[in-house]
Amino acid sequence: MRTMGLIFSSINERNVPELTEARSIASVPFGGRYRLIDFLLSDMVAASVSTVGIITKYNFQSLMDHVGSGKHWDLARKNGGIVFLPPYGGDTRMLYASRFEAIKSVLKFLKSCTEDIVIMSDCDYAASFDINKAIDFFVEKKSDVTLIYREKAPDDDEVKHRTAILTDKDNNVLGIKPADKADGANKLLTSMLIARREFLIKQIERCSMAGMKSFSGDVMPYLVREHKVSAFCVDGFFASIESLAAYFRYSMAILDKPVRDSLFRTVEVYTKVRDSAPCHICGDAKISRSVIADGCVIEGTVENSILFRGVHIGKNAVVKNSILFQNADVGDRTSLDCVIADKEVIIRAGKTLSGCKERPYFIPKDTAL
Amino acid sequence: MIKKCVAMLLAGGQGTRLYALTTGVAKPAVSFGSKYRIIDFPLSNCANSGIDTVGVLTQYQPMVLNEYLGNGEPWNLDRSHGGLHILPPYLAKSGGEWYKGTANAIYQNAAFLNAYEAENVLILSGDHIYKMDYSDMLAFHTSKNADCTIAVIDVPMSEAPRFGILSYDGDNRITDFAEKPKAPKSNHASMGIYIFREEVLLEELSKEERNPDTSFDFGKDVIPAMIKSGMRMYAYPFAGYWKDVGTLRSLWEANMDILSGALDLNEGGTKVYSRNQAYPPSFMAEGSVVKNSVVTAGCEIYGEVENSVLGEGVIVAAGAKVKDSVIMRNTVIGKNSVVGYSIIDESVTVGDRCKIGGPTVDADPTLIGRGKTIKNGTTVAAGGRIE
Repeated sequence: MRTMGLIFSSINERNVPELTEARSIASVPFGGRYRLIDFLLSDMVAASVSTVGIITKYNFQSLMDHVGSGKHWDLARKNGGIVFLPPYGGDTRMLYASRFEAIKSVLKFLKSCTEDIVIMSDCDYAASFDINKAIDFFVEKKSDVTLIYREKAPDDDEVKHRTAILTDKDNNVLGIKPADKADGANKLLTSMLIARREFLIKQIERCSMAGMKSFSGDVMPYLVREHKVSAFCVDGFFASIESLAAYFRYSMAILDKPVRDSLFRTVEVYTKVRDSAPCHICGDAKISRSVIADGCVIEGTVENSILFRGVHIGKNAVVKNSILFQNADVGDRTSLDCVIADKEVIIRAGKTLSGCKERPYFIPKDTAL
Repeated sequence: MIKKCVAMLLAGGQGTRLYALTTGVAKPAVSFGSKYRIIDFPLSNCANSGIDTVGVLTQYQPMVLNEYLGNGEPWNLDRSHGGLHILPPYLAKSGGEWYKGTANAIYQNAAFLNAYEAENVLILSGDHIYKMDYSDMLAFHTSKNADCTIAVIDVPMSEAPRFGILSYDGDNRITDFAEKPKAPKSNHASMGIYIFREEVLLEELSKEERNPDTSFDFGKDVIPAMIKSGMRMYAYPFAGYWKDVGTLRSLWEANMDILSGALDLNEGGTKVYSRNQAYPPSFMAEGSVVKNSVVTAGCEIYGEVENSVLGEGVIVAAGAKVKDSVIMRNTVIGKNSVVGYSIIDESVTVGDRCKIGGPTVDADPTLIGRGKTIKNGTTVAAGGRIE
């Protein structure tokens, strides 16, 4: 039985407008050298998925640049591989406005594929789990649809953005409802869903004919009511990027080894190869509890921080509790605390910048301070 | 389709003076500079010089090398026409034999050169660390209308007896060549990088095949014979970083040259390419001390590292101290172990409380071979070799 993937690369990106100003949520950097989509693609590839459709909307140049032909994930294939699905239309057609419209817009692609099973997912999280186990569960349960969930009491962000499910003891889904703190519901849905391709096509066409508008509001309740929907629980680290503060909190979590092992060592995580030179740590550098990527040159002090590729930390600079994206250049004697610097940021010598954990100080891409 | 220049990379050497580092792998596949292997340097130079066809001649212990090279994709050498080709010795209808020397290895692959109708052939070796734009050398070779151009670098006079030493006139035409002379006439050393006009090369190689006294070596036989017969031989002077890494000491020195900045991996704005494994970025724990060192993806450091070069996936446990050493990929240094002036090959497990090597001296560093396990509490004396 063969499986294909379908990734929504821009859904929920307005939750972190700072990071998605110039990119899709799927290409938001995470974990020192990755983009969010790397974890999902690597998990899919580890589950022998060899066709992945990526549905895009706005600002997907960064994503296309990152994913390219898909060769770094072994997804440059004669048959299948990476297929970008940008919106198309003319003067009379609008860009899709909902998940359901997005799925409808790629029906033709789904029909052209030959795989038996489809895994659909958004790309607004960093997590790594064995998708094969979920597929096995879906097949063994003879489900029409399997929803992937995690056991977790929703936090304030998740209450706003996520839905929960009610299940029986055999993990058959009985109902779907908004995540709510009060009722003790702790089965939070991820956006991942497994279905048979032909079943999915048929249901989308049927729901469309019936005039349904919303996937979560109309289609999902219909599926739960009329079909066999089961739920599969995933555990391990799951960074749901609900806000900039959540992005900061989950990024800092990878400084703990169990979190790194869960995210980086469940499967081999592939990313675009940049051939940076190794990281050079100079004689006066002091580094403590930090993740540091290749291409960095460290002359100052770095604590509890995450440095992406090609970051330079000047002499006597002190960087604490910060996340610096690719090629950030921190001048001599500069001091940073709780800062997130986007790509290609230059912070000149002698500056002091700080935010706090709940509200990290964000510096947009290409800024020179 | 005619190729202006095809490169032939001699990668069959055993490298006996690297001892255990080349027990199971050919010298060009030995790890270097944290995330590279020696062969990454000539291959990346090709990629950065616009050379898209490279034959890699293998013979000794080729498995790791073959697997590493694959289809040449990391060096942009996966091409529809040209690209990277591994050329091992082969059987033919009338015999077939091992490569008898560098010249014979090229001779046996004349068909490869003919297939690409190469106008010029660039001969490279897989045991030098340097960054060089071969297209400049090719332009020089063409402008001189040379039969053969040899890249030369000036070495300290005291070291000249270790090299092939050239003399050349004001027009850079070579007048004299001596392989490892006791009394060198100059300090212009051959870098073992040659560009030949293809028909000249094949003619000279076939002459060598008929020579009963030959050792089939470019430096010892082919080049001296060509100079003697008055062919147009030119010297192309090179001034950048270049180092032969044929001994444990020189391999260690070249690694240390990255720390001092003498070897700039980003020199000329070009990158050195390598085949990357999927490792997370490096992690330096609370309480770790890392000074004047190079680390790369997959490293996890809990102890102390000073003046050292660490490969992918190297783990230095809490309390361990690593100084003046080269630790190659996937090696683990156990708790409270002390490593000084050593080269530790790939996938070695050093247990807890071990003492490996000693202070830095002029002699060869301490060596631990690939895949070895050093039991808790073991002492490996300075200069010792675990093979």
